[in-house]
Amino acid sequence: MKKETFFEGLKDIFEIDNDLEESTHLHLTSLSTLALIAYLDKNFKTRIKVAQISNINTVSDLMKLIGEDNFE
Amino acid sequence: MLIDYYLPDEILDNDYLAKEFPGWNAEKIFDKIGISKRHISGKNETALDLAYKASSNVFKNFDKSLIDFILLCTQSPDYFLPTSACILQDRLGLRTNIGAFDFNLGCSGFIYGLAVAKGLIVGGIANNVLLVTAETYSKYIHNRDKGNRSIFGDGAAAIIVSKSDKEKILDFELGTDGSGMNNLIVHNGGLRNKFNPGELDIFDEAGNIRNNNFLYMNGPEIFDFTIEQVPDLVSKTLEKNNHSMSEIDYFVFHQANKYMVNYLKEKIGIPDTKFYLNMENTGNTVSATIPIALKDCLDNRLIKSGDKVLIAGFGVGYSWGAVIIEI
Repeated sequence: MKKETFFEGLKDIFEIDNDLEESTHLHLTSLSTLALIAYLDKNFKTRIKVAQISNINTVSDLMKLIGEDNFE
Repeated sequence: MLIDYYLPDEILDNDYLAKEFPGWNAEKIFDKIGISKRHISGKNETALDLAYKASSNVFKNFDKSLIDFILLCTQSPDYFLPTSACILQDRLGLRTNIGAFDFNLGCSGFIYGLAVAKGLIVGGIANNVLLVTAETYSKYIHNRDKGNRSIFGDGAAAIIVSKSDKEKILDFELGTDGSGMNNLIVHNGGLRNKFNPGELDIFDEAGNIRNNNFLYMNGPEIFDFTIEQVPDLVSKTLEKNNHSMSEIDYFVFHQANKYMVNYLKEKIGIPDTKFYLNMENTGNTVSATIPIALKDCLDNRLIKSGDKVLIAGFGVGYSWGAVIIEI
């Protein structure tokens, strides 16, 4: 997936108006976590455990979890 | 198919929750979970009381003296003992030469009840089974836990399962994985961990308060479990019954919350026109959501005689199950 597309997806999920960077902090709530789980399930083959998702702080953390080779 | 239900009088609506929890965005929450109000049992009203009322409603159209078995699904019994189903037999004035027992399941309970009812009938043990699902999760939820108070409502449904040449209950697909026990649980109050009046409150990142005497649900973990199991459950149920998706007239899933159920619909590829989604006025009533939805579908002619309906329940345990019924 293109990084730009991924960032747009994250902006929707986390309701962020500004442009994202890899260092941007992601605020996980119950609802945003649900939306993120659905997004990852829909767009990536890698199965990520919920406990791992709850440990992320930034966009970069999430990308590492998904696997950086999944991004162009 | 004879189904009826009962919802308690007290209403908890989104406006009330918004007043009680400043910052709780009623519109946004409704958009996500699809619930605008829930019915809440009275202080002295139990799941057994709801079961009695739902059963009384269904007996308006059925001779109760013909009932020869009661199956009562609840996780909110009046007592550790005796069995609520036995008390229900007496309160309903049913015959004494009948069988009755409770079973403890949540969101999958209606499917398991149908499976047992079918077994009783096919095995020649009973002819007319009263299957009741009754739940009052509100009594398990901490008053300051806005997340769970937003989702769950109380209610009961009653259905008569009888021998029929027309209506059919086809083959079941069932599943269990107790490794998920900690993701939807009331830790204290049973015999493993007794109710502890000194239990310390736990605050989560969203400002919900609860403690181990109350219900805990890890929503993301439950969602993850459904994503993994429910699509497979549906395909195995179809396969077991030699049916294709297109042969199913309607799909009724456990009404957990709008976001989760909608996502499952999309992932499985069920068209909107064949899928029921309505928990706006009831919330998630646990084991009662599927029969409540079936009754509403029948009343609104979304389901009609001759239709094949795939019903699926999934949740606490973890426990899941599905079956195709011919109406």
